[in-house]
Amino acid sequence: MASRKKVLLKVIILGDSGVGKTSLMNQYVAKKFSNQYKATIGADFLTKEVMVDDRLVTMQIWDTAGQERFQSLGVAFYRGADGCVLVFDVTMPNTFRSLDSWRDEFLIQASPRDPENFPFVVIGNKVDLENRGVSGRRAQGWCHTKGDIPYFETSAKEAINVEQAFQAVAKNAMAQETDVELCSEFPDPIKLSGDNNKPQGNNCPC
Amino acid sequence: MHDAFEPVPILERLPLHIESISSFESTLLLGTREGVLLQYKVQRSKNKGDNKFEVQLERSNKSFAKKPITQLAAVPELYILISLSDNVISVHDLTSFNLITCVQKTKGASLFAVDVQNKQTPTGVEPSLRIGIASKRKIQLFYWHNRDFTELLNDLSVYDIPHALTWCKDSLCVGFKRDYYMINSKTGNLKELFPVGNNQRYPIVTRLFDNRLALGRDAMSILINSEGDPTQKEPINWSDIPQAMEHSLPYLVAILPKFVEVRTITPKMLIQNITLSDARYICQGDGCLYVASQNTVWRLVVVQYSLQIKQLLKSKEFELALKLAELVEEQASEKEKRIRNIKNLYAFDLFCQKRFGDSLSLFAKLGTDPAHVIGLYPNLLPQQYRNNLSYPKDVPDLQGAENEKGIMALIEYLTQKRTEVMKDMGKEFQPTAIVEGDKTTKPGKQLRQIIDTTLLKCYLQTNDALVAPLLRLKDNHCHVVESERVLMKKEKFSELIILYQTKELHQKALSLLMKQAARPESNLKGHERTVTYLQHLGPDHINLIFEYAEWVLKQHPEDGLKIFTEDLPEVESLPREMVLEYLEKISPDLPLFYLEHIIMDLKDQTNLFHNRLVDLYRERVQRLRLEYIDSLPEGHPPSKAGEEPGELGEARKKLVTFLHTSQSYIPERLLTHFPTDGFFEERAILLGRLGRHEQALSIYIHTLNNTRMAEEFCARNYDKDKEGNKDVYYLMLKMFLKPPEGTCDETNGKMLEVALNLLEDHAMKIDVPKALELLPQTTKLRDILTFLENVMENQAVRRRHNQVLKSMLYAENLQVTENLIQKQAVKISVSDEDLCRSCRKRIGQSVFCRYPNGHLVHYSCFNNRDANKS
Repeated sequence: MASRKKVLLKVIILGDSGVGKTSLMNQYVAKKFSNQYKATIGADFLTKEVMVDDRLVTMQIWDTAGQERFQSLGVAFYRGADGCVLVFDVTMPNTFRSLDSWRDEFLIQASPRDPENFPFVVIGNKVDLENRGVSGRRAQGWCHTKGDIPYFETSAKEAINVEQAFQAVAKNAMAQETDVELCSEFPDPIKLSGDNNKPQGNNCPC
Repeated sequence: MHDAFEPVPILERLPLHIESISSFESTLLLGTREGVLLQYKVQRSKNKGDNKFEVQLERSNKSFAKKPITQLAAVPELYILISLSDNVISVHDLTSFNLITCVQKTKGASLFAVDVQNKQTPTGVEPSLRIGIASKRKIQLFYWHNRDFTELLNDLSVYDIPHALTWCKDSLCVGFKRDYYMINSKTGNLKELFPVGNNQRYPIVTRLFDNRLALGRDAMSILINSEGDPTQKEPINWSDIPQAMEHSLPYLVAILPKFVEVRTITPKMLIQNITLSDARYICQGDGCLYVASQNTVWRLVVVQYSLQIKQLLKSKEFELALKLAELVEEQASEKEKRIRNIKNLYAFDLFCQKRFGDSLSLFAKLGTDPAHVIGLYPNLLPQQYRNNLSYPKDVPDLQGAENEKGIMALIEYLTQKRTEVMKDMGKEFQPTAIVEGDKTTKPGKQLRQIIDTTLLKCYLQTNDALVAPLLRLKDNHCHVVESERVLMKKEKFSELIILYQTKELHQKALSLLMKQAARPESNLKGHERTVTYLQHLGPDHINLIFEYAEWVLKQHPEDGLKIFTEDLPEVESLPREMVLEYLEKISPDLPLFYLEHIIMDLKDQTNLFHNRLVDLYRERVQRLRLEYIDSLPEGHPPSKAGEEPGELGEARKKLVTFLHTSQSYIPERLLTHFPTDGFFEERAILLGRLGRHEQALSIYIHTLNNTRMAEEFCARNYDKDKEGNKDVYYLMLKMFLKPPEGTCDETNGKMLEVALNLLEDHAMKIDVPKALELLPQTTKLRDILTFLENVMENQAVRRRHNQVLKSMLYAENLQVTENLIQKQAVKISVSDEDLCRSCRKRIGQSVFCRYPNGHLVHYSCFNNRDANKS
C-alpha cells in the first residue's frame, strides 16, 4: 500500500548568518552544541529518523549558508522541499526582520503548489540569552499574518524546545505529503449523474 | 531515411574469385580462391567534390598460397599480414609479402580473430597482438612475440566447430552452429549466452566501437558487453538476416541477402538500403568501408556530415544529427556552434511537440536567450518586442490546460534563469538565438526585467499566491509599467501596492490605497493598509506621510495616530517636532496622545515636549474645571485637586503626577500660565522646582491647609548637601511659627503643636539653634523635651561614630607607616654587573630607581620612560 512506503522529508533551514541554524540541526540530530562559531559554506545535510503518527519518517535536514544569499544554491536545491524552517535570533531584531525576505525567496525558488499552506515553521533561537530584542508577541504576530505559521522559541545551547520544533516540521510536512498523495492517486472522479450538488467528501474507506 | 553512404564501385568484373578482403590506410587487399593476393591503392580522385577514386594495382602475388585465401587480416601496427589458407595460419611481411612464419600448430584452422591493443609502455606505444583460432573442435589462443605466435593459454576444447569468432576486451565470443559462447581469454572459462536463430545458417558476431558485440539471431542483432550481459532491452531489427556486418560510427552496416542495410543503434532507426548485387564481404580500415562480391568491390563513401545533418534536421531526427555533428571534423568553436544550433532547433521542436519540460530544460542548458524562449508563449512579451523575434516555423498556439502545463514549465525555467543571471551579474554572458544569427537580448538590466516581468505574468496565470513574494524580493526587476498594467487588469491591487512599494512609487501606492479604501468590495478597503504602509516609510518621506495620514487621522484618529506611534524603527525615527506641529494642525486632541507616547514610552527628554505636555494637560484641566465649577451648587466648595469627579479628576491627577515625575520641563515658563485662583498644588510643585520653597510651603500650609502635603514636599526636596534645599524643614517650621503677614493666626495654638511634632519627627534635618530661636518664648520646656532628647541622642550617636572612625583611621595610618618603614629599609647593593633594565648599560655610580619587582633602572631612564608613557 502506498502509505506504507518509506517516506523521506526534505526540510530546509533558512535564516540570517549566525542565528544558529547549524547549531539547531546539530542539537536536534546529534544532541551536541558548541559555542564556537563556524560559518557554513554552501549547504550540508543530516538525516534523522522520526516517528510521525506511527509512521517512520526519514527527515533530511538541509542546513544552508546564511552569509551568502540564495545565489549560491540552485533552484534544483529547493525543488521538492517538504518543509522549511525559518530561524531568527531573539536577541537581534534585524534577523527577525529578514524572515520576510527569506520566506519570499524560498517560495519563489521552490515554487510550491500551494504557497499559502506550505509547511513553514518559525524558530526564535537563543532564548537562553539575557538581552532579548524581539518579543514573543511580535514574532507570534508575524507568524499569524503569514497564515498561522507555528512558532517555537528555542535554545540550541540548552536544548530547549528544539525537539518539539522539528517534530512540528515533520508533522506538518507529513500532513501535506498525504494530501498530495491522495490527490495524485485519486483524480477527480468523472461524474456520471448530472447531480452536481452532491457533497463530494472523502468517502474513501482507507 | 536519408543517404548516409554512397556506394562507389572500385573494381568491377575481376577475373578472379574474391574470397576475403582487408584494408588499411589507402591499401585494399584481396585474397582470392586461386590463392592470388592482390594489393590496390585506392585514392580519392583529385577533382574535388567528385566521389571518384583512382585505383591502382600495386602488386599481385600469384604464389601467395596454393589454396583459396579464406581469411585476411592486415596488422599495419606490426607490419604483418595474417592469412588463412589451406587450414593453416601464415604470417607475411606487410611490405614485401615475404613469409615470416607458417604456424604449423594451427593445422586444421577454419577461422581466426585478431585483436590489436596499443599498450602504453615507458618507451612509447607498443602494439600487442592476440589471436584466437578455431581449429576443428578446439580454440587456440596465441599472442605475437618475437615475430612468432606463442601460446597464451592451453587449447580449449569445444563441443562443436566454431563458425564465428570475435574479440571483445579480454573475452572471445564464439558462435557455433547452434549457440553463442563467451570465453574468458585469461581463465579459459566458458559462458553460454543464447542460441542462434532458427533460420540463420551461420552465427554472426560483430564488434562495435564501444566495446560491445552485436550477435545475430535471425533478423535481430542482440547487443552484449564483454561480460556477455545484454546492454539494451531492445535488439536491432534488420529487414532480413544479416550475413556480415560492420560498425562505422554512428552507423551499423549489414549485408543482407538482397541489399546492404544501414541502421543506427540509438536512436534505433533504419537509415538507408543500398542495393549491391551479390555482396558478401565487408571490411573497414582507417575510415573506409569496403563491400565486396565475388568479383566486384565497392567503397561505401560517407556522405558529407553537414549534408546528412541538413537532411536529418528536415526530418527532425535531431538526436542522430547531434551524433553526426560530433563526428564532423572542424574547428572546436565551429563544432560547438553547429551543435548548439541543432540543439536549439531540437528544443524548439520539442516545444512544438508540447514536451515543455524537456524543451525548456534543453534551452536552459544551451543558454538560449530567455526572451526568445518566452516569445514561444502567447501574450507574454510586449507585442513590439515579440515582432522582432523569429522562429524556425510557426509557434503552436497554446490553449487551456496545455498552456497551463507550458507555463508551469516556463516558471521552472525562469526561476532557474533568474538565479543564473543574478549570479552572472558581473560576468559576460552571451545568450544565443533559436534561429542562428538572430539578434539576442543584451544581458543585464533588460534581460532581468524580461525574466522577472514574465515570471510575474506566469504566476498570475497559474499560482497567484506567489505574485506577492516575487514582488517583495528586494532584487526583483519587474518592469513597472508592464507589471502595473497586468496587475491592474487582474485587479490585483494588493500586489500592485507591493510593486509600488518596492519600486518606491509611494505616491502612487498611497493614492491607490486611498481610492480603494472607500470601495466596500475591494480587498484593500479600510485604512489598515494605509496605516501599515505609512509606518514603513520613514523620515525621508515625511511629507508624503503627512499628506496621506490626514484622511486616516480625520476618519479614525486612534488608528491614524498609530502611524506615528507604532513600535517600529522607521516610526521612531520620524522628526518629532514636525509630527507634533502637524498633529496640532489636524486636531487639538492628537498632540496630547502623541506627546504622552514619546515621553512615557520613548523617554524623550526634550524640554519643549515636556512643557508642551504640561500646557496641554493644564488647558484640559482648566476647561474641565470651568465646567465643573459652573455645575457646582452655590457655596459648595470644590473637591481637592485630583479628587474631582469624573474626567477632571483623572486629568488633574495626570497633570500633578507628571509635574512630580518629569525632570525635563522648564518651570519658569510654566508658572505664569497657571492661574492664581486654583491650581495651588501645581503651582506649589513648580515653585519647589524653582527653589522658591517658602512660597511653595506657604501654599501648602496656608492656602491648602494641608500639613501632610507640606511634609511630603519637604521629604521630596530635602537635601542636606544642597544650599537651597537643606533648610526646607526649617522653612516649614517657620511657616507655622512665624506665618507671613496677612495669614490668619487664630489657630496659633494648633500651629505650635504641629510645629513641635515636626521638630520631633525631623530633629536631624533641622538646624537646632535656628529652630529654637523660632520657638515662642512661652514654649514649655516639657513640650520640646522629646525634640531635645532626640537631638542629643543623635548628636551622641554621631560623636561615637566619629570616634570609632577616627580610631580606625589612626590604626590604618600606623599600618601604612610601618609598611613604609619596611620598604625604605630595603638594602640594595649595586655591583659592576648590574645593568639598567631599560638601556642595558651599567648602573655604576649613577642615580637609579628600583621597581617593586627588584628591577633597577637609571633614574634618567625611568624618567624618560615615564615621559614616553605620558
